[in-house]
Amino acid sequence: MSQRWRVVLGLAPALTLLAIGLGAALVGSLAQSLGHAPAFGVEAFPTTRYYQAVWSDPAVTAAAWRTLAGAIPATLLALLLGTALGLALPARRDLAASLVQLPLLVPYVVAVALASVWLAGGGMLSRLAAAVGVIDAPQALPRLLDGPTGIGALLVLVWKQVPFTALLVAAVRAGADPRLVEVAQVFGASRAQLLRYVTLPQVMPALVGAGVITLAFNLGVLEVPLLLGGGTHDTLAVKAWRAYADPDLSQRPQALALAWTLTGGVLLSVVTALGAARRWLPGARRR
Amino acid sequence: MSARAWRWSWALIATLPFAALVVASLAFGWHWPELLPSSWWLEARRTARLPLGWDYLASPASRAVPALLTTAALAAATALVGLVVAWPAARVLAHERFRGRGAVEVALLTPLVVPELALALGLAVSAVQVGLAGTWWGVLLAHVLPTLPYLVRTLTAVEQGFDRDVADAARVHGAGTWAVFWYLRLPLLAPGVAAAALFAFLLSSHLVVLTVLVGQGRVETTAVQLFARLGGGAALDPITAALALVATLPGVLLLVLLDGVLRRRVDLRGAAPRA
Repeated sequence: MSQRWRVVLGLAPALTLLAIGLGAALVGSLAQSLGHAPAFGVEAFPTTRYYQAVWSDPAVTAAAWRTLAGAIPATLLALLLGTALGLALPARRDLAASLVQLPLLVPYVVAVALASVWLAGGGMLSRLAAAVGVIDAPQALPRLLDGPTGIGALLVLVWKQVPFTALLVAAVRAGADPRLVEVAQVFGASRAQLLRYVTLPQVMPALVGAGVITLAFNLGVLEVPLLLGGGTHDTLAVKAWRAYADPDLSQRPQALALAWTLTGGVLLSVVTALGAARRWLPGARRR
Repeated sequence: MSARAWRWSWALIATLPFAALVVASLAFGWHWPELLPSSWWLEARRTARLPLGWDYLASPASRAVPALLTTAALAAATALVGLVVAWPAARVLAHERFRGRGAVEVALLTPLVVPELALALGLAVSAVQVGLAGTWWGVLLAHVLPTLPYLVRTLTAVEQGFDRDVADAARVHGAGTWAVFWYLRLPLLAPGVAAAALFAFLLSSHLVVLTVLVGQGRVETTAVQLFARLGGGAALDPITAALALVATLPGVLLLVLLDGVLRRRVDLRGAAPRA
């Protein structure tokens, strides 16, 4: 078999499945967002009225800002803590290094359940605070879930994503040439200099990859803001979900227009983040 | 803080929260500000007329057992289909040089940057038109998509660890295609491939939005059941806490399995020449 055929036959199944899946998701929903939904009594194809309605709605603009304000801090915090943890993982794994992976291996809905049992009004945290005498009523603690701060959602995202970054960083470190560090030490590099000029540039490409994947996920995630947002702090994903679940089926094209707006926004953010990382971060330009 | 202390702090942050979930699942009366319940499920179930907590999950009324079976079957099928589709692609990406390689790599990563909700809404619309909405097969196809990028990446790394010179040497000595696969590729790659498959299994068991929207509520997994019971910001009831623990089970199993698998992989690497 010639090399060309090996390449084509090897790639064909994966690319075909991907094309069918993404194509199906694209075609049907794009048509519907442009006004082709005869099943729900909407037949105005092609029209941009649903996009116009979505983009001119101040509630959607607010949701877009909330989406960014929720996703960016969570991503940065996960990257920072994940890098610190990744650098602390030993080459030969011990029990602690195994246990830190657990959040990565449970669904987001389990993380939401954990947030409820710990952070809800009357949850474990408020019981512990009462036990040490800090508060004397469940309401005395500031609301961590459902509140305007969104701190519950932030904690869930960071808790789940720190091990992801940490494992990527640890993998790069395990594969890196240890002599680089030795050379730097021989020439008298301090610990801070080692970190700045050897270790960080080594892990930076992996870090940028992890950051982009995490950011894309955090911008588009539904479960966490839906279940912990309390109905008053909808992100774009939550808005799209609510419009789709609306008993009024003529809302469907609007839901899909929202979903496409979200997808476009995520792609734009990813490209911007990649560009910014390549421009300003040491070592990110490689690969 | 030393690296060891920092690592152990995170190990505690990762595991300790589950203790409260275990307690919540076993509680019957747990009033604020009690740190532990004043009455427990095991005492209350003797006099209760309806199944409580874990008993309810085990009873047919909760449909928790069928949901767990659906989760496992769906995840296993996703891993299998994913492997069949992704492994050949990974083999090509690991060993062949060809034009358009960058484009192929980017294409295979796209499911990572398309929000699951957007993908699910799009697929739900199209699935209705082709009659796959609300079916097990429709959900299976939907589950394979987000697992593809991970499978291709891990399997490419696994394939890159395979030294083709070894296969060539075997061929020189008269080994056929089948013998090379059975005696060389399979034993050398098995741990890495198993790890990739386990991860795909796990990822499928986590997918909620795709399952709900493409399955139209008719394909019920454990994660979907948990999703339906959560929300409202209230403290957890025992049944939801128990369900969350059930949903944690695959991850814990994988943690144990993966540790074993990866240790074996390290040993094998030591045995393989130069790999």
